[in-house]
Amino acid sequence: MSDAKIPPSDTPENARTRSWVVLSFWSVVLLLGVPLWWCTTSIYRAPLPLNEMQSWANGRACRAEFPLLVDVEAPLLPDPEHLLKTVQHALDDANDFSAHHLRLRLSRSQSETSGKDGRSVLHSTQLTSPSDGHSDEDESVAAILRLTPGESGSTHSYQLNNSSRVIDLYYSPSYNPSSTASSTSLSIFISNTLQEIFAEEQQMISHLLSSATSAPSPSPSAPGTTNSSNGSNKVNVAEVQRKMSRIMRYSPTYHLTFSLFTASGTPTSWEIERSIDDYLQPLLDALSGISNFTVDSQVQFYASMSPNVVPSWVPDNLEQSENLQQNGQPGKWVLKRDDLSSFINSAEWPLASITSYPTINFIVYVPLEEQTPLYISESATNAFLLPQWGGVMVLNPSKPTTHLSKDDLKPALDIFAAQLMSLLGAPSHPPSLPIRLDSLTRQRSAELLTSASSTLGSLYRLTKALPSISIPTSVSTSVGSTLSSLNNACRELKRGRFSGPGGALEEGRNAASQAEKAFFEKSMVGQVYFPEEHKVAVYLPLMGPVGVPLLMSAVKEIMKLIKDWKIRRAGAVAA
Amino acid sequence: MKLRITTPIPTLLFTLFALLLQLSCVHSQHTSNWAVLVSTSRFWFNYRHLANVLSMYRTVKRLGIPDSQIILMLADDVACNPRNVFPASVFNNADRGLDLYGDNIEVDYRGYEVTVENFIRLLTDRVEPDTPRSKRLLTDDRSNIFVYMTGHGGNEFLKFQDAEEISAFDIADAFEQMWEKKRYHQMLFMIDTCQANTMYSKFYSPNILATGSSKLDQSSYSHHADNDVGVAVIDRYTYYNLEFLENNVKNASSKHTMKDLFDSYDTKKIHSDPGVRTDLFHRNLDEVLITDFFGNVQNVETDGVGEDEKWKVDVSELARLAANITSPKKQQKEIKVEELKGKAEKKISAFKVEEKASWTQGVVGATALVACALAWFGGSFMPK
Repeated sequence: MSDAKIPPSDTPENARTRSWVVLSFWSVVLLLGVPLWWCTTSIYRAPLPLNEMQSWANGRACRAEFPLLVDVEAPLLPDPEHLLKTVQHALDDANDFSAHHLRLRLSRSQSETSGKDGRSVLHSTQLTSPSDGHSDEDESVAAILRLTPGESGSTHSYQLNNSSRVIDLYYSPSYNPSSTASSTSLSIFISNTLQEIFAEEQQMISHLLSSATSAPSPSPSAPGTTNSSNGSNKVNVAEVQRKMSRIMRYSPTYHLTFSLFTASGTPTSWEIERSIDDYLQPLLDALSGISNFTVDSQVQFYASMSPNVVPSWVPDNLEQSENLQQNGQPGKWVLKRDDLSSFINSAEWPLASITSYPTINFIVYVPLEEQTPLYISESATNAFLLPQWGGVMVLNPSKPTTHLSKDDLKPALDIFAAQLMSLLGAPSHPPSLPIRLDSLTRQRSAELLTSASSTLGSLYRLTKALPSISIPTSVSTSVGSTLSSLNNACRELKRGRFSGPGGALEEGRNAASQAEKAFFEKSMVGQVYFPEEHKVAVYLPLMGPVGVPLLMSAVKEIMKLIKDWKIRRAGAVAA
Repeated sequence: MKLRITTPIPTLLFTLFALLLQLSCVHSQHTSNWAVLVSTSRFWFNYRHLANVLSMYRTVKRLGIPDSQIILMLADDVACNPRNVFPASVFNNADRGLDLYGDNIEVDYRGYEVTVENFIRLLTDRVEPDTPRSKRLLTDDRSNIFVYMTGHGGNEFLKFQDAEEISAFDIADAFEQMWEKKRYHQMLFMIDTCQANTMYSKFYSPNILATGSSKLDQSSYSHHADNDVGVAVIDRYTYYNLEFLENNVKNASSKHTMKDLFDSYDTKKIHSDPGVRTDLFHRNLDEVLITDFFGNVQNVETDGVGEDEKWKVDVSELARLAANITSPKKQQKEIKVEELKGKAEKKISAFKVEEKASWTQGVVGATALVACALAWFGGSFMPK
């Protein structure tokens, strides 16, 4: 009884084995577990050129310039160089937005310039250009100014050709270069003419550039900035704002939907395909350098207006009582301006688009026969425009018909063409189509440049603000190509090459699409937010059962080591 | 001296005033309205959440937002639930006067697609490239967005289908990303859950007006039950919102403001304290029309009389001019087409070479296969 069973004493081999076991467990945890945990929970953030991105967003990286080259042909003018110099001075002085400036150049070989299309780019003498060396052969000419003496007794006047970039300027035959007064008056006239032609474009570009460089501010409409000191521009801010709010955002492709909505069962067909081919397609082709278009059309019968839009009857002869309307009383139905804003019956009309690019809708509405003629109050064209959406035209067929021919549709297309141009942002002012298209190219380049830069800025701030978001490598490559495209675009702008392959527009397009791609990278969805206590809740059940034995055994081992060490020291002292 | 200084001040003031006037005019400009309506719960007993969201859907549609601009996220397991005694209908009132599920319902995210991830992806537009247009929020800096959420929530979170939850921080970050990318002009965030007001407490992006049904530690209650349906059919907060909208905002030209709506909230009726957060929203609520968010009022531009020049061009003349511009290009195109043809022919010959290569590869592959089969047979005989 006395020798109660006690466990055999720990052999040194056992102790050593146990130490090895504990050590190996710990080494597995430290060498394998911890790095694994670190790797799997860390967030990969590809390096981004943050400084460069920020400087683009601030507008510091590139000072966008829009030098417009104006060729001057003055075959009969004595001493044109001198005149050009004064005009250039006048232009520079009057220009308060230096990024967009006109540059005059004298065509040397006058004889070659008879090409009527005004496209011939000529060898030129650098007379008045501001001394920079990079005016290449391929620099596009914004306009050609042709100075010819007018009829005797006439004053200065100019005429703009609709189909070319040529501005025919007739100066008064009494012009005398040696007289200061006469030369001043002509130079002022020329500079005013040029400014007038490009004023609208300049305003738009200045608005675009100024609104974009400012970071998003608490108020969404902060760009009330005209950054010009003279009052004349301020008046136009509202107008420019209105115009900006109308323009569709740039897209490399737009979809045009032409819809015929008829309130009754007729007309049943329309010659829309031929009309578009004949009337609109040439315009779309001309615009193809800027954006491409796809077109479709549809007919919807018994398409009623929104139920709360009720046109009112206005008899021609106001003395007659209104309830006589059914008795063949001449008069018309009128839609008020308030009705128009809810005219589109979006619940019933099939206007939803399935394309991935923006759609511009054009609607021809044929009212009920009982409600014909239907007019829009205060509208001469019987049409209206919905900003960033499309246009609507109310068509009153002269007699009930089942077929709308090409001629019937012409008035509608007249309006739609104008609406399309204004939805795309083409300036309305100079009648010359090439100049308007050039302006549009420059505007769109500016828009793309600013939108790409602002996207970079957004991405920059996003990466700073959300440290838990991962940034894959594809984002950093996209940002890289955005930056290089932006640099190219900026360079091309300075050189005055706006359109064409490798031009500013194309580079801007690349930059914008790459920037969008970087920002909308689909793996960059912010991780679901975990409060700290959630993290504890996740780790504790995992770490508790494993961690406690590990920790306890480690403590035991260390204590044993200390004990051994003490005994050994005591033994050494005793010896 | 004094005179000299004072003269410019009135003019300066005037220009400043004019500028401010323009700013305020511009401020209310938006060109499109979008709505994101989310019911985050599933299962039959959450009938009322689906009814809430469908009622809102009906309202915004009634006021003119087209289906293409409404994103409807719901479990959609109620209308055809076996427990539903009125199959294929959903009602939001015991009088069953209005079938919300009637016709023309376009659900964009349905059933198990209603997840936190999809919701965040929708808001930030970080979607798969092949996502259809109807599942994307294609807004820009001129779009007003109305976000309505309902479900079961708690302090700073909202459950999604009993499986996961979204926190107030997640939504706030998502909205911030939207603001950064200029994806909205103004936003109305409306939420009907328990402790709903905590959900918008973390927002920090500008131009968001937020409202919720109940404050911290407060439940949000249902309005009434339908005995035949067997469950509650609508929540109180949504019910009184709808009541106001139905009675006052008859059509899209209504001039009622958000202030009118918020003033109509009555704690006694709603049984909880609805909250409104305006500090991010820099407009007076009595200037903000309800239809700025619930309706789709498009700005319209017409030409004045005698201004038809501006809106009308002679299209045949324009076509002629345009043809003038493009005709040289067309010729180039033709040349290019010919060049391309030449290239294509070259490519065909290259293909032939590839075909040959693939044939030899086939032979090699077949031989390898046969060799393997032989080796296997050999191997199986070996041990004997």
